[in-house]
Amino acid sequence: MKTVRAFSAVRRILLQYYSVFLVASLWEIVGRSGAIHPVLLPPVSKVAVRFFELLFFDQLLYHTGQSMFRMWTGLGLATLVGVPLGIMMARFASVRSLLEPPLTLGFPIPKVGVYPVLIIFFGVLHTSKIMLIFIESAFPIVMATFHGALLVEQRLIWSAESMGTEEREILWKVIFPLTLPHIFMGFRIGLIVSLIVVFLSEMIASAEGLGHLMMSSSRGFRSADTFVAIAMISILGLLFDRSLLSLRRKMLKWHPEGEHH
Amino acid sequence: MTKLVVQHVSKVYTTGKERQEVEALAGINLEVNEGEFFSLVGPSGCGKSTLLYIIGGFIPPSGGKILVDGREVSSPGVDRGIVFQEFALFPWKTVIQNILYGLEQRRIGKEERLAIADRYIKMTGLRGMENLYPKELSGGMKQRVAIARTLAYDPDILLMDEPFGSLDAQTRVFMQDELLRIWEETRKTVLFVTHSIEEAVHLSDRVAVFSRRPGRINEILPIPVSRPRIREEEVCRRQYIDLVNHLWKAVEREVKGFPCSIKQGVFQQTSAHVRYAKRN
Amino acid sequence: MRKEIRVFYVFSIVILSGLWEGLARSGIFPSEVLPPFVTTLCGSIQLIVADELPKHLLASGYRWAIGFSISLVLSVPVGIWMARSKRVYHFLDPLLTLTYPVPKAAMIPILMLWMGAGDLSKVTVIIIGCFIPLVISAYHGAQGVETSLIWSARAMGMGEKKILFRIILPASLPTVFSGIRMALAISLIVVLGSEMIARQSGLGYYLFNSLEMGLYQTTYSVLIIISGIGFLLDRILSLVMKNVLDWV
Repeated sequence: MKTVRAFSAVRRILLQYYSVFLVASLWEIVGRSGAIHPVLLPPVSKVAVRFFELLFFDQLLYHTGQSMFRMWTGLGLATLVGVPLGIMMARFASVRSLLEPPLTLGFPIPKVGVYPVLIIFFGVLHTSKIMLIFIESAFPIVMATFHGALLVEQRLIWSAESMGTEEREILWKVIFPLTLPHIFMGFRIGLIVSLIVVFLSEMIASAEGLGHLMMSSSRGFRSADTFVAIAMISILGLLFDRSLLSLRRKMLKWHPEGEHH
Repeated sequence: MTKLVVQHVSKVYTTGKERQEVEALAGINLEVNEGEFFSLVGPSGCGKSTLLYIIGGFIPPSGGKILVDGREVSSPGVDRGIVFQEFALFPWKTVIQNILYGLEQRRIGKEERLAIADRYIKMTGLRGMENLYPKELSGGMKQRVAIARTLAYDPDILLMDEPFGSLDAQTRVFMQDELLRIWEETRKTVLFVTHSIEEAVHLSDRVAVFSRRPGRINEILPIPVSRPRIREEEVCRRQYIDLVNHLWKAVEREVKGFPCSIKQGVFQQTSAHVRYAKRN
Repeated sequence: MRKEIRVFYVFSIVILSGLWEGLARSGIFPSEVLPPFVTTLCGSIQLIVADELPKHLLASGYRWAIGFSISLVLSVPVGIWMARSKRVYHFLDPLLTLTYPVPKAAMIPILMLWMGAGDLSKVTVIIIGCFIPLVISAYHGAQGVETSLIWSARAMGMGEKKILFRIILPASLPTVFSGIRMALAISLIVVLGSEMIARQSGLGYYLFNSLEMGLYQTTYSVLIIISGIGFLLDRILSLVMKNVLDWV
């Protein structure tokens, strides 16, 4: 009974993701055929082997840890600061008029250009990267929270007030739960952005981390290692995104709209 | 015994780019007795809800004051509960969590909270739906939750702003009788805003007729129909028909004057006003 | 109201510049580390009229323009196609979902390996980077076109091709445009980032080079120029979008 179910599950996955398997198989064939120089495109199997080699016998875990530390510190700070800021912007006109102009102006600017300035101040170690990640992910988080908090219906606040909720309680008892769907959206963008920024900054100037690993192995023509780094990044990205979506589903089971994307 | 006194309440809004002043309410005087079911009817959007929100303490009056049991009130409080047309349920809370909210705010002990909530769930016919989220409920059920939630923490006065306006016609009629049944059990003072004359007559002890903007009370009509109000008998009686007609004429007179349109609670005259003036 | 908001925006720029100036002149940081705002601004203007910067600016602009336009031309039709054809959707969706959270910046070293550190790799990265958000928004835009609209068109005897161009395309434009706006921001980051990695030419290279050579004031000046360009491009795009949407 269980094998039948396992079989049909496997079959389902194969059918749904057939394009992925197709591409992967093509990759393997082309890689092994020698049509392209193996340095340029090592076959999937070689990359997979190298992946485990680096994981258990070399520094893959170390570099991953460095990157993740930077990314999550930056993202975490952006969330801790950004969410309350966004809610306050929606609630208090003074905060809004102070912060909305620089946020809207700063949005389209490629903030990676600020990285050199951050290096001037903080050097090439963790701080400059964390700061860059913080700046980059704070924008979408604050804006999404702000716009979500604006949508909170006045009547809900009035109901809560008439039931004895005080002014300061309203912020986290009423506005915060109602804004949560938007906060999730903003955080998701922040997650993707911080992933991009941490690797970019490590590729530009760093002595460790996955981005650095990519650059150094690429320069040393150890392209299998480069692909390993990319694979690790992809796995992490996927993992975080999926976890976020399932967390969202659990916490927002009360939300009437269907799932996003 | 007088429960609620509205003393010379007026409300003026400033709006628009040119900072126009719009007078929404002009000197409302009203006294509601304890345990009375009091309705407000009148033309569309000419101040009835505004008065309700002022009584609730959500918006400040421009002049005059509100007295509950002789004390002046100017901000929201647990003595005046409100039920909105759009239900205003907390979507992230289940039915029972919504109902418990006011009780939690009043710092009532856990066992007692659950007992009270249970009583109102039974009273409003929500048995079996305690753990559903608002998104899973129909309009009628949502309104029951709103009513249960507001009754649970025992406010002195119940303010209801067109509570059945979002419901379909059948559910609406059904909910009217449900409300009367629930009300008979608790006998709270109710202030009820509605567009439906029939609804007002069926439910109330007294009905106030509002004028068009700026809102004034033109008359207060007592409804001497005995309780309990049984719909099938009532509708055929001469007394009921006379009352409804009287109120219709009173409102019609106001409606055919200056039609108002609502824009976010602020009132603007439409060009129909000019047309009517010319015709007359 | 609009005028008040605009005043606020100008006001905040003034305040921020004032803060910068004040911080610089206060002496907390040595003047190499944080040159005063006014000096930096003058420096920016000087750079623009000088020799070096425009050369790099052109190089970046050229790459960005090609990459961005190709990306638009490729992605939007694909997205719309995905919305129209179930088979295409079924084929592409898993690929897109898997690669969506992956930072496209990761492709830069590989592409540089394949195509060298010149223009081609950078253009390709831009195309790849912008591809997914554009496809997704084009897909959602085309998907969101009310079926009732399409059905009434069919009932009126409109051919499929006409339906595509007359109804689906215009109706999906707003969503597509917001995707374009996001793709613009991404493309700028990608161009700048890849130039900072490849260190050959372009604004990103120029920016980083000034850092490595210790010419900090130039770094700040170039930053101002880059920010200005990013802002301007976004404004231009918004204007174009507004005009096209009115016309539609």
